[in-house]
Parts: sequence; structure tokens; C-alpha cells
Amino acid sequence: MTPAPIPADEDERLSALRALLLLDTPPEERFDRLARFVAEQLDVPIALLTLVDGQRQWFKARVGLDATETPRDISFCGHAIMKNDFFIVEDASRDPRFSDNPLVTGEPHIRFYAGAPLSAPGGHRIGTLCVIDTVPRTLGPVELSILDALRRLANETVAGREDGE
Amino acid sequence: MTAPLPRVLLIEPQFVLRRTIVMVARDLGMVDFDEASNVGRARTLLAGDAFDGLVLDVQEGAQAMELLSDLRRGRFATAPDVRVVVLATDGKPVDEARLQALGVSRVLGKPVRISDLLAAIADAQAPGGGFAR
Repeated sequence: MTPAPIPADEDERLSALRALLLLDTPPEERFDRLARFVAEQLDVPIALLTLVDGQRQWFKARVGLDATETPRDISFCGHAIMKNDFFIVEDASRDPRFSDNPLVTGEPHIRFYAGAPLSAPGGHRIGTLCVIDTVPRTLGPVELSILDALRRLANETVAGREDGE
Repeated sequence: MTAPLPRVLLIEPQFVLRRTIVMVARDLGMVDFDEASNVGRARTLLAGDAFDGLVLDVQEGAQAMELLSDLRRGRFATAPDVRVVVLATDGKPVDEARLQALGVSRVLGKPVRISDLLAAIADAQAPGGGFAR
């Protein structure tokens, strides 16, 4: 297993994340609806809005998963925040970075992962909007575009700029 | 020179669905949507602009049907015979006979897959379809 790497801007990134005052806060409909919607549109059992903290990833919104956080070193999202692009693992059981990861070999038995990094208003990557399946998958152009659109809405929500109904 | 995208009015109250449809359609270069969150706002837009088609959520019931009826009577700047795709609210019965009489091209039930909506719009863009420019 390849542990999630630490970005070069880690100190500033953590400061930006903690300044948002979102960590360990109760569920909020403005975030929950994004997780529900991406799960419905991409037909996946698990969708998360994650925040990558110093030693853990914590879930601000979650569909299909009971856990509220997992250790950062085994997180897929810890890898996803290293770049602005999507981070996609089509079959984790065949990927040497993840094949012996406990999230793959045990619950929730991740096989497919797609994460879109989220940014704080200053540009630091603080977490992801991600979808997970227990079977290998690929995403087509429409699905990727939907994930990107919802990432943009999530960034607006993080920044407190989202619209209402 | 690239042909302009068809300009379609999307009337949809659900914020996340509406914004995602608009962004995906633009991203894929399919449709340039104008958006309204309710029938009242849609009337204002229809009074001032001509659209190549409509996607209408009929959640507002009688008001939505009246808008459609007024459109067919030529009461807006948009051509009265444009293609209309209707989004029907989860579990709420729709008067399909009336929708058919008002010339609705397709009725899609919610929750709607954006891929299905885009496919319906692509059909409407096909030769003879009202969304084509």
C-alpha cells in the first residue's frame, strides 16, 4: 500500500481548512444534498464530501457509509488532493497502491473510486467530493462533467456563496 | 465558424439539479440554457427573449400548464411551436392527455438522470426537432 502523501503546502492547507470551521460540525442539508445527488446521478452506493485533516479524513456529508472518519494514511482522498484533476482508480484490487489497503480488503470493500478535489477560497485543496463503488467502474464524459459541476457547487458551498432553491 | 448552441429555457425549482444541468450542457457544448427557478420568473424571460426550446418542471401544476398554454397561443417572444420537454414530479400524476394536446415532446419522470435529459434534448435537436438552429 502507498500511504497518502503529504502536500508541500500542508501547513497552509491545514490552516485554510481549519479556518472554514467545518470540521466536526453537524450534518447540513446544503452539503448532504450534493452527496445524495452525485450518488443518484452516478448510480454509486457511496458518495462523500471529505475534508482531509492532519491525521484523518472526516466526512462532512456521506451517503452509504456509517463511519464518520478514517485514518488519512489509508485514505484515497489523501491521494486525490495532490492535484486539481480528478483522481480515479477503476479497480483498486488491481492497483498496487491500493490492493492491500484495508478499505479495499475489508469494509467498505472499495473497488472503484473517483474524487474531485475541493478548494478553499484561497486555492488550497482541502478535501474531495468523491464516489465509491464495490465493483470496478469507469466514468463516461457526461458522468465526469456531472462530478465536475458538483465539485464547483461544493466549492461555492464551502465558501458560503451557494444559492438557495 | 461554429454554429451557435441552441438556447433553451430551463424551468426547474431544484437548485442543485438546475445548476448541474446548466453546467453539464455548457461543458459538453450541447445547449446554452437560460434558467428560471419558477414559472413567474420564466414568464419574465419568455416575454423578452426568443428561445429554441423549453424544459419545464410541472411541479407548479396549474401555473406550469397555463404557461405552456400561453406559449402555444403565441403570447411570448418564443415561437409557439417550439419543442418542450416536461419533467414530472416524483409520484405526482400528470395529465398526459393534456400535455400531448399541448404538444409536449417528451415527459421524463423525476428523479431524472441528467444523461436521459440530455438524450431527450439531443433528440429534439435532430433534424426537424425544435431545438435545432
